Amino acid sequence: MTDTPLSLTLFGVAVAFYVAALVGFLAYISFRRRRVADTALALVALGWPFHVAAILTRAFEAGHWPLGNIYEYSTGISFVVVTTFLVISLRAGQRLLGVPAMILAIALMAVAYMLYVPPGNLVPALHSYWLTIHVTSMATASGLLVFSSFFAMFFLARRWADGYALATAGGASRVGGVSGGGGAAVMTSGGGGGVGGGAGGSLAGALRKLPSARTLDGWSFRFVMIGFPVWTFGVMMGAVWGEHAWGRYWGWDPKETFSFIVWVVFAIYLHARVTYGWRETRAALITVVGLVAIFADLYAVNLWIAGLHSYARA
Amino acid sequence: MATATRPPARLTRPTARPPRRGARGRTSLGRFWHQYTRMRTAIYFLMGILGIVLIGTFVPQQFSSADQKVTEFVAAHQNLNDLFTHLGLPLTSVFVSPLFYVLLASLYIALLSCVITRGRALVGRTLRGYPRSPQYWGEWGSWLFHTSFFLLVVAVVFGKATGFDGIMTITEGQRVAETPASYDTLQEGMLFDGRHSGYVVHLNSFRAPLQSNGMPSDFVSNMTLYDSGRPVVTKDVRVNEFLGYNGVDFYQQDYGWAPHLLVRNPAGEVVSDTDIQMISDNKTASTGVLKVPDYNYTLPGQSKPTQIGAKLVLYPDAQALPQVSGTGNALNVSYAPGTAAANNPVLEVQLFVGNLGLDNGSSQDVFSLDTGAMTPYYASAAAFALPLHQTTTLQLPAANNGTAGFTISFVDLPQFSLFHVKKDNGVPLVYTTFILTMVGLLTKLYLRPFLERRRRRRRTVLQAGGRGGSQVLESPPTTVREEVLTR
Repeated sequence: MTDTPLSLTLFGVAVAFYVAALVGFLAYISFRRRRVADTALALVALGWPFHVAAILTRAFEAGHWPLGNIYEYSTGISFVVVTTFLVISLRAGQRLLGVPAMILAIALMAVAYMLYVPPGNLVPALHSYWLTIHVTSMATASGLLVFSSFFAMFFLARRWADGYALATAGGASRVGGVSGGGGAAVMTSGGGGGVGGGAGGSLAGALRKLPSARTLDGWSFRFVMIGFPVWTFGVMMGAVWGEHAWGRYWGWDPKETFSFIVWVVFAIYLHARVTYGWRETRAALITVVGLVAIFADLYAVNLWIAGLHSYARA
Repeated sequence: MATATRPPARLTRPTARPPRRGARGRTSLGRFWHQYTRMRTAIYFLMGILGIVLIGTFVPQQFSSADQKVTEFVAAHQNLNDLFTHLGLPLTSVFVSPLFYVLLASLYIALLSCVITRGRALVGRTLRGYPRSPQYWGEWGSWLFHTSFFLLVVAVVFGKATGFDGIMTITEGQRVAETPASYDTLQEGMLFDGRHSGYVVHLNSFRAPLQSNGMPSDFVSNMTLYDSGRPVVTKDVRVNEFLGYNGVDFYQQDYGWAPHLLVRNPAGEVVSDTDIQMISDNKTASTGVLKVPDYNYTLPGQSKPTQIGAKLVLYPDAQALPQVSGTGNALNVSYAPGTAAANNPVLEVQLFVGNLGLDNGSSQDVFSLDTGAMTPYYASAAAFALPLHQTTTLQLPAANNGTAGFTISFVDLPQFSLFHVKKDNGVPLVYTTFILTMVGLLTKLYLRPFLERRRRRRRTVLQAGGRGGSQVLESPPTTVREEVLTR
């Protein structure tokens, strides 16, 4: 094709790097060589500038803030996901996170490509500086909150692996494990190795390379701590925009409703963390529900439920 | 002070199950209240609200979805809907259902109780001069967050109760006063004093320029607002730019064509001279209804004057289809929709003669024609085409087996603009609670960890200073970091 916009070409290059990186991270799980993981991380770091460039060129081609339809929005969220992953990896040396982060980033970009719209004018309803404020907050919050679910899933996996190790080894591998790894450094593996044989054993062994359950839970909470206020802010700014554009700050439009659902899910999470019997496992499960709700909000509402926010194909 | 003799109130919810102090001594009401206001119960309330809201996303809702979808859903799931309606949760109006209100009210009672209890404890702690620990400030943040969330609902209710909210249609060139009679629909709050502004708005012009893809790039109503006969504001009103004056706000909501039709009866009297509001999804073809109740002509052999009505289809850019229909059909050219631009406006008129049924009140809707007591003008119920600026002459039976001619003229094709008009004095309060909510949330989530970190760092510096130096440590030890992120 001769008339492929530059932004789409750059987008393709970024996706190619991310796919290669994902292969690397999966290989890291199998071979557990640090160098493999570092190579994969380098591939992500190489793809990232192309991702940035794809967004910037798209903004120039379209002549507006590049969050005006689902192609641009998905690209934006995947950008937040990749950036957040890079920051965590470089600051805390976490590598296994590359698997869910890259799967999600690639999936988001695949959806973006499937719903590709050539750069063009915005629908009249989006002609507003509120687009920049509201939609950017929502995209950022979505990208951040998914990490709380990733860490929660790792937490659950680590919990299971610790339980497995405890059951098979009869407390021999207790040190640095089940009780929460009191002396474990922040993002290094909190214990593990030497767990009993069999498929379950090898899986448990791999999972025990993860940081301690307590650390993972802390990271999960940390991302709610960052993402929840941004989400709250984004929803509020959406209300202000709704009042400005339509004359009502809240109208139970499907998109509004779903953003409220996501907000309530994470509000439940925050309360669950200080409620007896709800901490840890149940709280972790709540963030997983939150992940599902975020993506239902992103796609289901835009594509299958008509409402005032149905700008997906615009 | 009486409070000074009490033991310090617990400020945080216990993290482990506490011994049930005094629980046995409580009355059953007290026990119920204790359970009702617990955080665990609040979580269940939130989950219940979540479930209802989820239903509201997937089931078409009255007031927010198209009426047709709501009717279709009810027809398809009659029994299910009946069952849920008995349970206090009509599926097509969950956001105004009794169950939803009960859950919301329960949550807010629990929230209020929490806010009062914790607020009292915090004030008591402040008065007694307890040390201002990081946790203390975190508690204030949490309290502010919950309180402002409670105030948000107060602000919403206040705004809705003291204001009004309506939909108003204005055709190009028309002047409309902001009074109840001018609205298509109007909802006034329970505490609204009933005094509408009486401002007159004039729709000077409306334009919706089309892009190459056929979609409008913008839609703009140029309006002038008159206060006591004096023009005070003239503004281009579009989706993101409303017209507001003294608390009454006009928002651009929708638009469409309003063909101006003129009907003369066989006596030559003008019996209808109006702009007819047409509705459509994509503006390339729209539908509307003409009703002439005071036609002032009595058909031979009848005692009462007849009425006429018509179902209209408007193609602003009609594309004539080449084939000619069969003989005996008055429609000799059929049309298909083109673009949304008024390049070749043609009306297809399907005419009916008889009783419009306006007396029994069943057919007041301006968008539908009840043809139950009417007969089609053409035996095949065919429509005839009426291009812009043209007049069609039709015949009705007259005395002595004669005929009497009457005319329908397509005079002009202005556009109408639909406005959401409202007065809501609660909005500034709502925004204030937004700010307070954010301040509370950020204080709760960030101030406490920040203060804790600073305190630890200071302690480290003091210790380092005690050993004979005053240098500031560049980074805190890892144990601090660990504790911060896992708290």
